[in-house]
Amino acid sequence: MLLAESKDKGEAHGSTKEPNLTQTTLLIGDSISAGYQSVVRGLLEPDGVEVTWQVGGSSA
Amino acid sequence: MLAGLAEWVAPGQSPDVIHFNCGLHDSRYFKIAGTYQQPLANYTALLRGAVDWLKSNTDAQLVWATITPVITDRLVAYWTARAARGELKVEHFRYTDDIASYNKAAREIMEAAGVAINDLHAIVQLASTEELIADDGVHMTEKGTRLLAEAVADAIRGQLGS
Repeated sequence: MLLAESKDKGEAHGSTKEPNLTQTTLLIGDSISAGYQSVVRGLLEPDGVEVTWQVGGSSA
Repeated sequence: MLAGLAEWVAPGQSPDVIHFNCGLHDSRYFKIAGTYQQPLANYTALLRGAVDWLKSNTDAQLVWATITPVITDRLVAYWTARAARGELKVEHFRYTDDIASYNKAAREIMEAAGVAINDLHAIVQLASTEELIADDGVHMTEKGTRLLAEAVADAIRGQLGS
């Protein structure tokens, strides 16, 4: 199974300041979520939500 | 997905929210073999297994995202053209009716398990499938990607109560 880890936290919205992340979210998906996961991170990390992403691919 | 869960969620380190989806790979129909990557019965069994594992091993609020639409005519034209140029071999296609069947089966599992549903399929359809699906008939345009990202962020905020 193909695995991929999300990139460093805090980079997606162009900030060099480490956000104070108090809640966590895991996204699992395929190449569709690969497209939007960095945008989701940029939307949620300013609110203190850490977003990580894993490529699940198929259901297996 | 099922095989990766134990690796992605460490014991005692449950995320607050897990937003998950699979199906675009499973529903691929391989023409030569005459079968799907995961036939519907396999898909539903694996999905039930994943939901059972998540509910048993995490404290996370679970959100299932429906499979986004495909445009079969567009993807057939795209991949056939690439094959004609010798860029690749076309081994599989995806069909709109199959996506509907896989989504229906997944919805039944999630509803029975009390898992929240983020209906990305409907969100794309309501906005404009023709405009939001890229030339390959499967992936999103930039506008589609932004729309899905906002829908996913909203669903997660809803679960977090923020």
